[in-house]
Amino acid sequence: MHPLSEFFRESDKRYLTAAELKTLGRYTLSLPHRLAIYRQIRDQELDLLQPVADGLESAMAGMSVTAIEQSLKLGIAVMRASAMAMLTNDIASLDDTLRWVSQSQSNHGSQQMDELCFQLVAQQLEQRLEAAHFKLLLPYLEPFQKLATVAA
Amino acid sequence: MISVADLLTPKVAAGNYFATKTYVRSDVELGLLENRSGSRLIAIPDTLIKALYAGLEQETGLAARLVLLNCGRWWGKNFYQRFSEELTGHYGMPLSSLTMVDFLQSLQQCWVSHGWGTIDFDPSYAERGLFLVKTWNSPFAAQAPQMDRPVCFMDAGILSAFFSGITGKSLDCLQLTCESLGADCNRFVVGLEERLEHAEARVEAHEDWEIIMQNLVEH
Repeated sequence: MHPLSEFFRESDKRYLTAAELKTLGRYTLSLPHRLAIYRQIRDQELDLLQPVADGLESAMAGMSVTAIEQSLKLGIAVMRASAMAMLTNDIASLDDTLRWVSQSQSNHGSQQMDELCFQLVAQQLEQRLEAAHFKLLLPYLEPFQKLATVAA
Repeated sequence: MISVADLLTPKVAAGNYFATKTYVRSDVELGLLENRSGSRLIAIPDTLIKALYAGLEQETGLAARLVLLNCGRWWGKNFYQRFSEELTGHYGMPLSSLTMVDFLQSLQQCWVSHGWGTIDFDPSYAERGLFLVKTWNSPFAAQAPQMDRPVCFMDAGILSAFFSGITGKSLDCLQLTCESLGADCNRFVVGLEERLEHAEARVEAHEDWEIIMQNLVEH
């Protein structure tokens, strides 16, 4: 369930506590920033990902184009899922993508390349987003980086 | 040089069609569950699965396993057809253009989203014409009566029909290990009927699955 939905589950029984209102307020105040981050990623997707592709191709010189493209497709899925999870502040929404990435790594044996791909995606985002914006996005990128580390 | 622009087309970047959160939709007012293509889904309570086992056992005795296997085959046949149509529509290309790995990964996610537990494929025996399939947390195993042999007849039927659909050959499926007997997972072997026919007696004699597989590979 979406974290904000949790607040409304008992709305017929009680009012929100001060701490819950504070959490809700923090999210509301962060929404303009979340929208700006999402918009920037959406508008710059190609510019963000081409250097990732170039970096991956040069680091994985011995690998086939098909294998590198497979890794990039995961990178695209991860960036899109992370951006949406950040926008809605719903980290649980990443579960399906995490399972998909994990299965893909197991099926393709591509942990090492995917790990590098996700790192390059994170690097590009760090370079292009404002520092505060990247900090807001990072928690939604980390599960994929941790997944790669665990798998490796 | 790889062009990311070529990868960002909807067809190529089409992600996980069977992602649970987007695949299963509900309308509380109408009391409906449907998938993202608008086909109806039904939720089966544990009680119904238990009742199916108990009712069939009472009505048909030992033939219950055959009934369940055949139900699974029918289910699997229709399931394969719907699965193929949905995947073809999503990727905008015939299934034959998908790699086997991508195809099986979609099946893994599809299995999860339908609440049938998790599934994995072991390609070790594929070159010898046998598919080894592993499942975990099968609701059909969890609710099955305690028997002295593997009990996921429905799953076996689904898998035999599904792999028959993929390969275009009539394949059979035999369960080798079962969670209901304390195994680490449910293991199934899928292959031509004549190759599997003698293995069932070995399963019932509680032979180790690896020995059964070795025997199947050698014959």
